[in-house]
Amino acid sequence: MELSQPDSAVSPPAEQGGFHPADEFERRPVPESALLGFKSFLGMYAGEHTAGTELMLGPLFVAHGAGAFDLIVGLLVGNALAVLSWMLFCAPIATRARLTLYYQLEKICGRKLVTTYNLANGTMFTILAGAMITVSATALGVWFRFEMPGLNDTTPTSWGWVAAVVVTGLLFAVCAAFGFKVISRFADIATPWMVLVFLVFGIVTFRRFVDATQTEIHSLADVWTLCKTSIWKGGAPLEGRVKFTFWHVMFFAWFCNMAWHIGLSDLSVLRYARKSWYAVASAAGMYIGHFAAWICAALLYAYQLHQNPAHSDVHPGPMTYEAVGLTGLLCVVIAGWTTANPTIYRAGLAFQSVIPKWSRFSVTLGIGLVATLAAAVYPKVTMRLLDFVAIWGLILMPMGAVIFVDFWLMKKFGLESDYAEKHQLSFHWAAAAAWFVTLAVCTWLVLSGRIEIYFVSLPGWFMAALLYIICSAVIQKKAGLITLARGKEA
Amino acid sequence: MRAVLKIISWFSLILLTAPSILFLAGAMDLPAVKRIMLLATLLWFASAIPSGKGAKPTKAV
Repeated sequence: MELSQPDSAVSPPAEQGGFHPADEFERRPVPESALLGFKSFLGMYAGEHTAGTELMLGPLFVAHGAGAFDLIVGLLVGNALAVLSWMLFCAPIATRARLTLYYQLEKICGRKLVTTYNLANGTMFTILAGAMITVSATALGVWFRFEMPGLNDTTPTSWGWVAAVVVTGLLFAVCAAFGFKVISRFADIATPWMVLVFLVFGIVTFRRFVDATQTEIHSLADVWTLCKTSIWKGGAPLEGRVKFTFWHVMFFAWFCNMAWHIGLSDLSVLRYARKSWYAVASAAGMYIGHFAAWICAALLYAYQLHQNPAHSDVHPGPMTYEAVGLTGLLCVVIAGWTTANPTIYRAGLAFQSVIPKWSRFSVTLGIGLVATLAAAVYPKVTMRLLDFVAIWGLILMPMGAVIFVDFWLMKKFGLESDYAEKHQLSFHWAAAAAWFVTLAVCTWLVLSGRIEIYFVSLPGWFMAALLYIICSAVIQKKAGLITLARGKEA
Repeated sequence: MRAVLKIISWFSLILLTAPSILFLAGAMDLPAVKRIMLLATLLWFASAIPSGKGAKPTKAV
């Protein structure tokens, strides 16, 4: 999952008191003097995609019965598509307009619709923070030995678990409210260590597999055989899970950060890039966090299942402790903490933009408490993290399609772009229809079993783009603008 | 002083990963790996925090 310092994508405009580590150019293009070099993006992407949630996502691929080829090649291809999406969808607009997602959306959709977008985004960030709290709380289970929720549990399984989540969550919430910047700095320090610990999880567990299966390794072919026959055997998924094929893995890896690349949230980040191709830096995040870290985390879980097929619970704390001892536990806590911190903060920014009167402190604390409560009473979200991430991408994706069409295609169709700004609208119905109708149709497609959640966002993007063009044409024709625009061209 | 701390922090990262490579090669047992990794972790945070790593946040954008 993606995490970083709060960006302007969800922050309120400057006059509402947004977060200002420096001038963030909330409502004007980033000037030439503030542009950043390639290295800045390399460091940012490499760090922000190695989060506590990787320890949940990797094992869930195993629970879904992904085979070795499907997992490894699926992740390679899916992550390449994600990088291309950053490079071809997000960066070209970001480096031309150099505006935040928030401001770009406001120009197209109007302030009220952006507020709705922020509410949706803030809610998703809050739930994600809950998942991070859950991951870290599993570390406490190693010491206190309370019963933790299993893969298919919907509600908490013990008071000890609830207490662990509440203590962890409160700690995270208070830290985010009081010392966001200090923890952000600590996160920057912890990142290189954390990435290496993730890799060590994989190296150590691979050796344990070799020992457990008495395999002789003499070549890469032997490694691959071990992967296919003992680690990621494929076969039936665990109870209640959909069988993952190559396509599931590929689409999941591609759309895991859909809100950021195709959904264009990273306009706020890449607007600082000197060149559009700097978006290739996202490969560092994808192949460290969403390839190596997922595979290493998947190894941990596959080994647990190999030792005891009945032990199917995904508990990152005990799994990492078993592999590398206290360092593993520290990694679980720090990965969860340093990534929940900006997540809680971002959710706070999103909600504060809706009600600017609330102080940043109280909003951040409030969000932390809600995330804690959600994690304590409903662990199912974390156990279904793959589905949640896919839903998040689906919810925000249509607005990416709207911006894409508005930026590149509107003039080609003789339509006006930035319609809300030009006509001083607070709610542009064409964008709203594209968003809500796409979501309604996609939800129906998924719930009726016609298409799985992991794939629905692809046709959904085209649907949103088409709907926006059609609705814009209808609205602008009514206003007599199409004739005018064509007349001007002539 | 800062230069020394930086060297220690780099060394600690090597110390963090090298035991797992030795374990993979069958040249070290797992309890030893765990002990050395914990030591390396303490060294990393003790040296990286005062040496100013993270002073220029990589997540500035």
